[in-house]
Amino acid sequence: MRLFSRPQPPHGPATPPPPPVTFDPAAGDPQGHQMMRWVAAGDWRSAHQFLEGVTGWDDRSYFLRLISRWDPFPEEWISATGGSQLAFLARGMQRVQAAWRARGSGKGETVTEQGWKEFFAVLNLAEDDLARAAELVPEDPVPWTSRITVARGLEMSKEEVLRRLGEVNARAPGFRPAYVTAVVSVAQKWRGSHALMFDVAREANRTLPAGNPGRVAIAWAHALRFQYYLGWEKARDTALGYYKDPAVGAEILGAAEACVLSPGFPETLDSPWPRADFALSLALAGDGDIAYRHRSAALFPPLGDSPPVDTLWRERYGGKEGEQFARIRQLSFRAAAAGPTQPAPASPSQG
Amino acid sequence: MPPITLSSIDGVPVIAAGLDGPVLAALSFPVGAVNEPLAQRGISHIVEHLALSGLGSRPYQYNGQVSPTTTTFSVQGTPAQVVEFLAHVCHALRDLPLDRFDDEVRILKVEAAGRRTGQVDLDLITRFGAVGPGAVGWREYGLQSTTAAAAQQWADRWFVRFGAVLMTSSPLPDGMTLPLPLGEPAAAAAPREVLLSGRCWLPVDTKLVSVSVVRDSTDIPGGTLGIEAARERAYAALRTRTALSYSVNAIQLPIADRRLLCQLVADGDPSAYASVLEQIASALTDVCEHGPTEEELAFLRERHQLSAQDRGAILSMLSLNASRILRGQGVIQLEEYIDSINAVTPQNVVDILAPSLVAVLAIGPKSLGDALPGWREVSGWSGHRVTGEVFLPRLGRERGTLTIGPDGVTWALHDRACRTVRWDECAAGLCWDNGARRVIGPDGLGVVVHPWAWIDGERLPILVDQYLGAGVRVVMDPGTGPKPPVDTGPPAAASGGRRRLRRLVSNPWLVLSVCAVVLVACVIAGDQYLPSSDESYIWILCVGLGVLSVRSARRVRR
Repeated sequence: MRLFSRPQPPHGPATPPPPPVTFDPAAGDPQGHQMMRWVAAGDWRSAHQFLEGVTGWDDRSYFLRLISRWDPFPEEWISATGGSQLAFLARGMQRVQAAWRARGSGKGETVTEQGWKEFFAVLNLAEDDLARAAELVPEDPVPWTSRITVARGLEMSKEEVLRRLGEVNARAPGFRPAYVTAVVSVAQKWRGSHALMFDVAREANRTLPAGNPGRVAIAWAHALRFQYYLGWEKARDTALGYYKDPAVGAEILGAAEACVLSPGFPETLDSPWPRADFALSLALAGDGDIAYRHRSAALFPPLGDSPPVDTLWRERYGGKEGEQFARIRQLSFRAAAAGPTQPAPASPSQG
Repeated sequence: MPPITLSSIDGVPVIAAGLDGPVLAALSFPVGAVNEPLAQRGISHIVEHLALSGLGSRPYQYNGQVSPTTTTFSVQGTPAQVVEFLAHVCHALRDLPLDRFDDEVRILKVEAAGRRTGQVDLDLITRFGAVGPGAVGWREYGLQSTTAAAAQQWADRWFVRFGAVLMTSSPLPDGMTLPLPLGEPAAAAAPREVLLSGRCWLPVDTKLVSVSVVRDSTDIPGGTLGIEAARERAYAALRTRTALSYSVNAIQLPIADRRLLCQLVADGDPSAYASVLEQIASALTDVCEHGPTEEELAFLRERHQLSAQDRGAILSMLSLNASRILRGQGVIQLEEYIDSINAVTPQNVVDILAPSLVAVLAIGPKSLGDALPGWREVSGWSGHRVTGEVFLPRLGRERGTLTIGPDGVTWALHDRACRTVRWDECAAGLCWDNGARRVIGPDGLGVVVHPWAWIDGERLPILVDQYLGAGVRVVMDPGTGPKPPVDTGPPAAASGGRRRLRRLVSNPWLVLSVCAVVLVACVIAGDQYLPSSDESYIWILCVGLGVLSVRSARRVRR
């Protein structure tokens, strides 16, 4: 019976379906998948042993973000290792995740009383763990990065948020995860302001060396401004026109060229994150597919079909980021094949 | 211009100018809102109203006014009328017409109801909390709590010859008296520590943007000129050059002995608030740090010289001299004052204003955001908490915990964020007839206690009242308190939305109708052609379910 089946077109060959895109916490990296298996199996010993050999703050942060998905956290890790910094750091980061799960990702008015209670309680515990981790390995920027997120949740002052970002910068200038969480933390929807958010992002863009991933803060700032127009100010028309503003496009392109499109951009396990963020921002920027989309095309191949989670794709498309990724990637490839029909504006005045 | 002379009547200094025309006189006492405890805020206003209440309508103009630091009774008329007015005020202050107390308080409440909290009020509250200059910004809670006897006590303490000054536009008739009690010198209010430091930003519901500093007032008018120069600079930038603002004003308000609140305030198009803030902040801070330019000073000197020829200038000099006399200084003539203005240098301005940059406060619309680059947020949290009985919130009505003990009350949002008021420091405790309480600390932070918001909360008013000192207790008018939620019973287990959903799902007709819609969708999605004859039963089924769905929809609506 044909009732529940869509018939094939009577003529012509079938269009091959686009490859499935699955947003992946490990961004397609095999070591990351191994870490996820350890997490799933509760094997904290292997995770700990592996992490001790990881050098580079970017890579370390990458694996610790995967570990933070552990639920419930293996408390034995703390006691068996005599309270190692890694264990406290992992638990602190896990608690941050757990607190946010309790709160939910909606606006404040959607959070239940129990949700608030658990959110604050767990975040306070996370703060203790992360402070301990920061003391045990003072040169580590990762605890300070998570402490920025904690400061946001516990409604600490923006001065404190920026102080914590300063601590990160003193240890690892332009540390991408810190810049992303800092920009979110000082955004207007988190009781900061658009001005402060752009100030932080532009300061990073102005001062960080070429290729530094911290410049992705610009992409996040524009995405959050767009989101505020749409979700808070309910200015749908302004929101839809936001990325078409030549000044916005020029700023995103400038940041991308000095970051993911720069020869100095470092390849680490964290690289897919700024790549994914800029890929979306450039694809959205400008008027349709003529201005910036061809520049975003170069960013898609390294991402493959397993782009990373917790990027602007999720922020913008919610549960539909997979199909949107495939669609926009295709549009970008087409734009790249056609070449720019007009030069992308180098400055707002030329837009 | 006629010279300003200093004489004395019954020990009260009299500063007089030799102007022609009707006599303008003002009797000023060194008491104002800054002297009032928060629970008695407005008591000077009550005294002022009572003192004038017996006059009724007169052919001459008279008025009373309470400023942050003074209470003044002014009159304009013939010498005989002025003498009559002053005699009445002095007698009334000695023996207030307390039979008018309730009526005057009622009038004052009407007056207060029309008053809105302004930018200056918020500025003072943020800087000084609920005491001293901070009290100026709060509502007149004394209208609720002050008794007639307390008003007379206040008058006996403050409305005396010590500290009083009489200013007149021309000498008064000989033989005039000011029958005030001698009184005692009022103890100078303890200098209040400013709660802010650095550049602070406060977002509020307003359409104005202001930036302020608190400066010392000195004998050199450099501070005055500096603030005027900053205003001119901001005006030129915001109105003349960029056309972003309509009004740009400078306020210099005495808030304590030798201390002035200096505020630049401007309106603006909502899309331009950020630019307005930037312009007035840079105008003020630049002048404070580097002083005005010589051109700006020359412009202001010329303006002062022109205005010195006006009658108002000599009257302003009376007020200036009143302050000088109270500080034990001699009389200064208008010409001398103009000379001192001409002698002001940019460095004088910097010397006076630069120290005021230790605490700059910007206040503006919330649309600008809660935190701005280069500005600190004003903290709403306390640094300490008290121990005692802990109350937990009722679902959906409060957050955090409430702790009440013998030392004070703490509302804690979580372990690292709380607001505390200690009983021994409490500035005022507002009590409503429905059990609601609001306890206000000296820093202006308050803890709101709503019995309906906490589990076992019906005991809260009793507990608060037990600890709250009688001197700070303010019983508010019935029916004016915060309203409890309409549904005062325990909240339902499920929210309204969930209940509605459950009711819908339990309706079998609705379930059937959903099935019909799904089936139709499947048919349309599964075949692009109409069903063949052997599939017509599907359409019959769909139509049948559709009829049922319409019926069920009607039923649900009913």
